[in-house]
Amino acid sequence: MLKLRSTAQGAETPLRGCRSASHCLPTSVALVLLLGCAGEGPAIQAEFQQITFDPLPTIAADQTSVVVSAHASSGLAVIYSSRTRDICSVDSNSGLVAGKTSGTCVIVANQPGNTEFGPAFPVTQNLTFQLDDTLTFVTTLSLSLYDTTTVQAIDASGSPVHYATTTPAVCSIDSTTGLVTALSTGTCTVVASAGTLESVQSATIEPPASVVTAPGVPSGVTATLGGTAATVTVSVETTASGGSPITSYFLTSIPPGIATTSPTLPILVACPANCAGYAFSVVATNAYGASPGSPPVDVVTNFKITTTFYEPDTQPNNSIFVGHYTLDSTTGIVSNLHGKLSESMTGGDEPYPNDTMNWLTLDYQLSTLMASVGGADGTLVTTFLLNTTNTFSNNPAYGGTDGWTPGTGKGWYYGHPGTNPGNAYARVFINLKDPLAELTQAEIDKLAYADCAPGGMMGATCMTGTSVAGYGTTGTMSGYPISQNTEQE
Amino acid sequence: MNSLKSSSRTSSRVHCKQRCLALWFLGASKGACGVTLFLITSSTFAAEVVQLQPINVDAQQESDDSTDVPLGATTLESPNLESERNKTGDSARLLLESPTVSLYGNGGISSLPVIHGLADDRLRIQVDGAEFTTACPNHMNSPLSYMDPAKVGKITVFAGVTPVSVGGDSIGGTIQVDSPPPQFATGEESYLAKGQLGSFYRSNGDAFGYHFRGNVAGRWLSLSYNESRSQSDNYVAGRSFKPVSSGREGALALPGNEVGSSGYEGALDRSVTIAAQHAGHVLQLELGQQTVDFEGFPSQRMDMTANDNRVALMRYQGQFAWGELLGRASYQITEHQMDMGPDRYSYGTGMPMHTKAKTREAMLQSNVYISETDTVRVGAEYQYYTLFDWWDPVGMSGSMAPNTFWNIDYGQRSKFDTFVEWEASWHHSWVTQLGVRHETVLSDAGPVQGYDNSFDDVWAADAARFNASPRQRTDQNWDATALVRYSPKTQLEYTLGFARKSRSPNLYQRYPWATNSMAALMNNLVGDGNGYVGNVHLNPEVASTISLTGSWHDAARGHWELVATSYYTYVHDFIDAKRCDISTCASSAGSTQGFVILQFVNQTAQLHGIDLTAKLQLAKSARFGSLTGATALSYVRGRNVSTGDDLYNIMPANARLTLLHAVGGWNSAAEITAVANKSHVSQVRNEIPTPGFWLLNLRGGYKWAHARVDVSIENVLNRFYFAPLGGAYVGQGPSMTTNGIPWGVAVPGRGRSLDLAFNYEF
Repeated sequence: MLKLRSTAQGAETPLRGCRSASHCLPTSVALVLLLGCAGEGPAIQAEFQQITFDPLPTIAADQTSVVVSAHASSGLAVIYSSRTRDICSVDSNSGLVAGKTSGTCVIVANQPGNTEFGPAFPVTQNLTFQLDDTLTFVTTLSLSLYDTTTVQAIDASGSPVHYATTTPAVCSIDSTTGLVTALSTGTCTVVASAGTLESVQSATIEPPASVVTAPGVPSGVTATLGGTAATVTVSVETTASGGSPITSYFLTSIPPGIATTSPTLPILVACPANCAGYAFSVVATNAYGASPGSPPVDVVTNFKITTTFYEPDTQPNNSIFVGHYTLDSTTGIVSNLHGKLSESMTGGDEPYPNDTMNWLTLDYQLSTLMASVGGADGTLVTTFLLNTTNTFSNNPAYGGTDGWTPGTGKGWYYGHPGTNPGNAYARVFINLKDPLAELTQAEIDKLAYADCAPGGMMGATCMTGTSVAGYGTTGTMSGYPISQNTEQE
Repeated sequence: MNSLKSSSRTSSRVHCKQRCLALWFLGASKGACGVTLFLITSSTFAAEVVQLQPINVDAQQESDDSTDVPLGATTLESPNLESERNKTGDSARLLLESPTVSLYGNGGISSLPVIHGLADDRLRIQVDGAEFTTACPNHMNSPLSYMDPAKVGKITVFAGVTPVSVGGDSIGGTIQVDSPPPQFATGEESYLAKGQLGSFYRSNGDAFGYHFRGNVAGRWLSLSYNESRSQSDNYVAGRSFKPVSSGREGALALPGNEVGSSGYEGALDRSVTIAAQHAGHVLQLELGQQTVDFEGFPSQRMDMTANDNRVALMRYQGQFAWGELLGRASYQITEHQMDMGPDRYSYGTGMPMHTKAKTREAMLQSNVYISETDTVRVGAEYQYYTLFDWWDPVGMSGSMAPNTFWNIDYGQRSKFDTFVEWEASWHHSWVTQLGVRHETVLSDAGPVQGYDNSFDDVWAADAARFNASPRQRTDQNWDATALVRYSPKTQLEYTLGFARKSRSPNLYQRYPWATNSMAALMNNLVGDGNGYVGNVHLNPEVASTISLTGSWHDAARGHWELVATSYYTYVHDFIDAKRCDISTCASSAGSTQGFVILQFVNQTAQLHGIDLTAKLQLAKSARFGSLTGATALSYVRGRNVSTGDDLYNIMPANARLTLLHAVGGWNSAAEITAVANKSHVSQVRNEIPTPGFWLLNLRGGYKWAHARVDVSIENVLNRFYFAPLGGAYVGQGPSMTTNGIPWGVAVPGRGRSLDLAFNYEF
């Protein structure tokens, strides 16, 4: 905070006289000069300062860290931040930049000023990281003749991995799932690739045992929604063949009603209306019989969710929650809703995703409420910044209730007028039967967020986003929900 | 006529008293220049007084001379003002008696006059000669709010083509509001003691007030004291115009017809005036204080929670054989506070805002009678205005803490004017006036800061950008006026005038720097609900106006009169607005509805229109008195030539038809006011159109020798209407957000009201 040259009255300032000759009109008489140019001056100093970056050091290929250096003309220490947090991070004081992946890293230097100097205009510096990513197998290839197993390789940068084999006469592999099937004895070699990276793994396919049997119990069975709410994809990680080629996989549901036979994996099956409430079991079959059924597995799917609240006062920036969650369609349980919430008041001219907004990390899913909105069954799931729901005032005198329900507590922070814990949350709506369905307006109306962290506060009022239809009021800065998009991961 | 004498002993006493009063008044301030001015001026004058020989003067009679109307002006005086001034707390409403003036709605006692479509700072408004300056980002404390209506003795309106001797730094005209001249004992009286006491009540809003004036005077010394006070609750419109809802969190709901944030309380005006006259010289010292405890503003996002204005004004008028010498010096200190009133969302903490300003002014003018038919007026004026506008941090953390937000720090605006004006009577039929005025206006402001410098994109970047920019501006403005009046016969007059007038931007047009919407919304001079960002690079407005007036009347102007004025004004560098396209305020670029963020910009505009007034005595008899019909019509059209848009807040065509009856002490009037719909609206501001309407008002009053009672019913039929110049209704709800308050509702006019006023003189 800048030091006031006087009290906040602004007029009890010490005499400063004319700041320059041009402040006094040359044609004024002496009396008028006395009248006009004595006794006042600026209440704050806020002297001008500017930031200059030192020349950028050369960044070698695969170099993951570098120190940037900037100086303010005031001599005050510069504060660094990253505008490309997915690509790099920076220590705010030392300027040590850590590259996360290849790309252009934008570092911002700020100097907020002090009792003498005003804030400096932020200055940016671009750095280019060229990092050699790694591609590593995380499973070991091991199987006998006619067995199936699944290999997995992970690219450090998160790029999608594709699979192939250089020994197609010995083994086959699904390019997407990595499911390997031993076709004959010999050496099986599989290759994982991601961009220009490749990783190779080999194994020897041994002959089967002398006694040939029915297949073993399929293991590592998983079920996820198949890209729609009415289909399920069932995968099997490993199946022992028993020494004879597996001829088919039989999939049944619990409760019964869905059944199918597939010669290959994974198995895609359609549900009558949607797949909610069903678990699945797999039986493998060869010429010698059928395996026991695998233990039933729930349909568990990961989703990415993006919820947008229009903020008329902070355009082009909106309040945006980008999160991830897991839905067990069999039990209807949503778990691990977490993500980040933008503080639209802090943003510059570039909108999301090239924004410069501050983002809060919401990691605590503390509320799941069953809701029937407009005829659709779903849940209102809320994730918080802090490991507590205390967000809004719970004082009944202020219209408070439980301390966080949207539209309560006048939007004032929890504990007002005491200390603000600075909590924040985002509430999303998840359609349990069809999580990929486009939300109806009634469902959008039930979305909400609250930001009582410093970047969301105006006075004692948290920045909120709600709709009149859903909660009786728009947000405290007139923000309201406009969309929620869900993608299966 | 009085013969006045003075002695050095008494003059010294008076002089000492003046100085002591001045020191007392300014004691709380360290403003050395103001004190210095008073001491020097007082001393100088005291020396002059004792050397002069007595001559006869009667200022009162001169003032009352109805033929003494300056060229290009219209005047409003008692008794025409009596009825209105006794029943309102808003002096600007008195101007509605003039057909050329309309009003921007601006709180209960702070309406802003408009002349021919040009308002506020585009007009020069002088109160007792002093050019009071507003000190508020919403212009809440308008100059006329510093004079109670009961104190008004005379109003002079110069519309458009204004003589350079009375107009500078303005393009629309000049309004001079003066209190009655000081009164002295006359004839055989050795002293004079008189007073006036009055009160009013207005049913709509439950408004009431009182005023008191006491005057004690000898033959050469006069002392008077004025005090007035008024207050009002929110007024109600003719019907509901909004949902029944509470403006503040948890507060009682406001009825649908109640205009939120329209009340005011504690409007107190006090002044002491000491005047001395001697041998054709009159010196007057006025010390005044005007305070307002609260004033709501339904067209602004804040309310005035306190305003303290203190004024010291010294005036001198001296008659010499060669002419007349006029001098004036004034010192004004204004401390102003704003916050959310009880009808607004409070955000838990409110949002205290402060403004403190000082205006120092001095003027010297000489009117030299160079011949029997020629007068030359030469003068110089100086004004120095400083402004501090800051907003306290609110909340314990967040985007509005921990710093004090400086909207304008050490804003300065100084003016130095010189002018010369020649008025000549060439023949009894011809009068000409030529004048030229030069003005230097210097503006500057100090560096600023936001609430929190760590929020780069909220405050710090804007503040840094502003602090790095050159902010000092010097404008050299030239004005020129040419007026010709031709009176071929006593029943006919033509007045043709041309004027080039200039006005430099005010500090709130150049220096508000924050593009954050909340901060921008707090800077609004016109009541349209939008937010404004300043523009350091603004140039002065330069207006060229041509005006022609024809006046036809009977010789005594008592039976009939018809006056028509047409005018055309072209304004180069007119300060209008564009949608903000910088930093974080660029969001509302294309919206055609809702409140938006704007930035001041120079463009080109033109206005034209016509005013028409007429009166005709319909009947007159000794028994039944006189019956007179009067009408006034006004039409103005304003266009932004640069964009093709309409100008903001242009009064639609309107007419007033009045039937007046007077017999003995009784007078009454039935008045119909009709206003067309406002369809020409400023698109860049998303200005709200208003439908046409008409109103019926009935007024009556009786005057005894020492008392007067007025009764009126305004809006007799309780018709609902939106005030065309009332602005956007943002009087309740969350102020800090652009569209947290519904857009599209104009401020409605007052519903039916029974008004009573009583005045007693002793």
